[in-house]
Amino acid sequence: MHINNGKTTIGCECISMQQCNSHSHITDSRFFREGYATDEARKVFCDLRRMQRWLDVEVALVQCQAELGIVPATAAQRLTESARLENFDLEAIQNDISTTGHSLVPLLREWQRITGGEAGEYIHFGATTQDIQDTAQSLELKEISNIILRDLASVIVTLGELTQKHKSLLMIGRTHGQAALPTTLGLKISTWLDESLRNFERLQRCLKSLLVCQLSGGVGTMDSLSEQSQTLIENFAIKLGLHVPMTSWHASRDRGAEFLSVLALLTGGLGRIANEICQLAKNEIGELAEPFHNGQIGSSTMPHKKNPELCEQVVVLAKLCKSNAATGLDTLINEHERDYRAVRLEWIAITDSALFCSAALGMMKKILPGLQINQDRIKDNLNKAAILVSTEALMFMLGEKIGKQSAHKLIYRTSLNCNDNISDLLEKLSRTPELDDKFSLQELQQAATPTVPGQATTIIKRLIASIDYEKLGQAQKAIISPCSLTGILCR
Amino acid sequence: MPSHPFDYKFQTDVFSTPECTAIFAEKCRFQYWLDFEAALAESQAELGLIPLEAAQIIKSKANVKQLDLAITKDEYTRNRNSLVPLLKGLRQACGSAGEYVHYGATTQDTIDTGQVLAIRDSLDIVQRDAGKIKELLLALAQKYRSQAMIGRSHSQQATPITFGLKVAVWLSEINRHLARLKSLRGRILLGQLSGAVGTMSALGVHGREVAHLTMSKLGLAASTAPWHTSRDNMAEVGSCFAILSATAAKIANEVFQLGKSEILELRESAPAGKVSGSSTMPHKRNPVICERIAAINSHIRPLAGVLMEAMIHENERDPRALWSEWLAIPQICIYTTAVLNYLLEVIENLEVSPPQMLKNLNLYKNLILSEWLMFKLGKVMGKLNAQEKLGFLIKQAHDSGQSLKVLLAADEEISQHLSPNDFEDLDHPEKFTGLAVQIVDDVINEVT
Repeated sequence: MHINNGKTTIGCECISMQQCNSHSHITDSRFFREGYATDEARKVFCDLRRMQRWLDVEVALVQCQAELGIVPATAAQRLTESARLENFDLEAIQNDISTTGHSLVPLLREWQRITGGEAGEYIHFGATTQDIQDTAQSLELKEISNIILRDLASVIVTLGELTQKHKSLLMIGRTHGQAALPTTLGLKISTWLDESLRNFERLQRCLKSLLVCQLSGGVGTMDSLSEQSQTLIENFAIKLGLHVPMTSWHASRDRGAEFLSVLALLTGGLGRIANEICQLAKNEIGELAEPFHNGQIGSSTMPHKKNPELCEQVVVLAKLCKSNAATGLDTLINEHERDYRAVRLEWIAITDSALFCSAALGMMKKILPGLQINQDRIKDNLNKAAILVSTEALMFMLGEKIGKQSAHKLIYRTSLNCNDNISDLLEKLSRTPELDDKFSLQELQQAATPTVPGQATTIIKRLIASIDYEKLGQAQKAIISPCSLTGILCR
Repeated sequence: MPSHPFDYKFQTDVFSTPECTAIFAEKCRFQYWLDFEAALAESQAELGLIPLEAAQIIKSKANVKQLDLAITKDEYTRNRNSLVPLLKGLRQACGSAGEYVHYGATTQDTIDTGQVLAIRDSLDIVQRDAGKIKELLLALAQKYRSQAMIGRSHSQQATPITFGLKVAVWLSEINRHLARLKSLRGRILLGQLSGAVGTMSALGVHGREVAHLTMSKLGLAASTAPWHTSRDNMAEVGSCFAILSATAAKIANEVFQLGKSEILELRESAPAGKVSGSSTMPHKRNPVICERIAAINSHIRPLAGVLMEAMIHENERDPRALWSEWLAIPQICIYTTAVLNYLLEVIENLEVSPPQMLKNLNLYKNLILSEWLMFKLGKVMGKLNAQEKLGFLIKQAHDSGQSLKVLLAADEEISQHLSPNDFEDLDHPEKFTGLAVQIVDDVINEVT
């Protein structure tokens, strides 16, 4: 916005409108999209790919109808050949959408024009708009889910490696932001791993009910789809690689809501990992850091800064996915047999969450393999916290002779007066009359030395043994197919 | 036994304050309604619309202590109207004067007005406590106006600030909240008296005078238009409280973060006689009050969302939206007062550790002056050149573990532009707090 002589004009005067590519959403921003979506995921939701997908679904329908003798085989043949968006007049479609206010009819009209002749009469024969768009959405979700599962599998494999590699690396565990007791880095990472494994399962399980076609006609009665409608929908689903729903789901949007919840859980799990790395990268802690490459700039004005930018962005994406999960729940309230107010919420919430989730995974794939682990600082922090971390062990040892509650009171009171100094505490304890020379200074020192917590390696071993690496391998190798019958893709 | 944490009998008031739960206690809620009915009857009598004696009787009986609430309770099991069972009790107590109870009003007139009275009383607490917080922050900003500490961004050490500046930022935010609350109060203390569909049809030709008189007796103003379905004021209360408590949560989070074992610049401290340790780790002193603030705040924001959504009323009245408001308003008021009460405790007992602030400031004392160096060198060698050169030396310092000061001195190009004084300064990051002290003073001047 520019203000000239008190007059306000809106627009970018510095560039001509021809240069303006009209991409205003951040996920499409030429400069910043990397932070919000991967190019691969963006292609799944590309405008043109979406329209071509609608055509693909229409083609599948007419082919199935021809196979059952509902429409002439020649018409189906002709329509299959002509359903190529690259030959369509896109500007005409755009204008027509604007005039008619309808999201599908303009595309179908243009298809009919391109097809010519009688075949065009059999376009969209008995289906309703939402049948086509919902089915296409399932194809879209299949495609993006394969990408998400592939990347999540890769994150899981890396987490497994890190867990094992650092299973005995002793570090301070923290609660309430305060040093608590010793743990190991491997054990900390194992909880990231376990959560990610659950999210992998969650998404796979959710896909079983999510990936269904829709072919139910105007109000879900399949009325205009002929008596063979049940066979038709089964064939239609097989052709597209989807499942058959038991009833119409035009107004039943729990599947999409569940998908959004699962993405929020998945991305939220990544957000927790990223946030922990940020916290442990604070200068005063310095235990972990995300990879920092040469040429990267931390701050525009403070040359020394190394900011955990990737981790911070993952947290941002997790919060965005969380908000969309709530929108997903809003889509559940549909009225009567169809209610576009719900579907239109899905169009934006599902697209955004899928893009955000893919971006978060892309970032984690960079962060985790290059994770910087500063063993000196880890050790240093543990030693500094020795006074704090040893008190539980001391309490139990003293407790054997003077009772646990009395030991708790005694240590609490004594530690208030020894300036966070472990030797001071041990000395004071060894001399306190309440202990009556029951423990030697040496015994106390021994009890106060941090050791690898008893169960850490066992827990890790059990978790690693539970991982189905074959399944993860399959997900990682999955070919991300465009689910397109015609094989036509957007550039 | 009570099941909501507001009402726990043993672990009392973890998420509430007794002061505010008293406002939303059921009997108090009834009393607000009865106050409305009494004011209505009195006003109608003054305008000669109902007999004076009837109004006097209604006024004397409109008190929860005077009514047989057993009748009311029994009636609620049969009648699903929210108000009628209480009015039945009032009518019975009034004898023949009972005819003139709730004369021409609709249920929502009574309940909306009662809700505004409860909000007014909650606002009294909120404004009082926000004012106290302001005074405490003011004293803190003054005391530590020039206490140097490290500033952080992206959770990384950035450049020096003063603790006073950090507090001054909180102070200015609280001061804006006080202005917001004041202006909110000026807008929302409006009662409701407009009859079943907002036409005042049953109140007669004097309806508007009745409304003005009734509201003035309750210390409220009358609304020109009916607001049975216009809930923007209620939504605004929610938004104001949500923004305010988010500020409290931000301050509490900062105390939490700066109280981590490795930082220890600030610590939440319990007032004498209170313990906030761990059941199994005797050394722990946990910032539980800051944590409670965060937990409560996470509920306040969605409640503000509920109130936003409750604005979508249909036609002339719509209980679906209204009742979601009834659930949200008591909670958001109670939670907000709890958050402020806790924040007061945190600030009042805050432990500030200047030695830890200086210790952390000096951890990377040369590096954190990189901005100052860049501008200093930039004047003679160009800012971008200086940035590049410094970036190179800083990386070298990181990789080799040498101090930046040594590397600067060893660099021929740079060392000729830096005086012995400059090198001396590199060891004193506390000198580089910019205009922090003046900004603190300006903020203090602005808010006092």
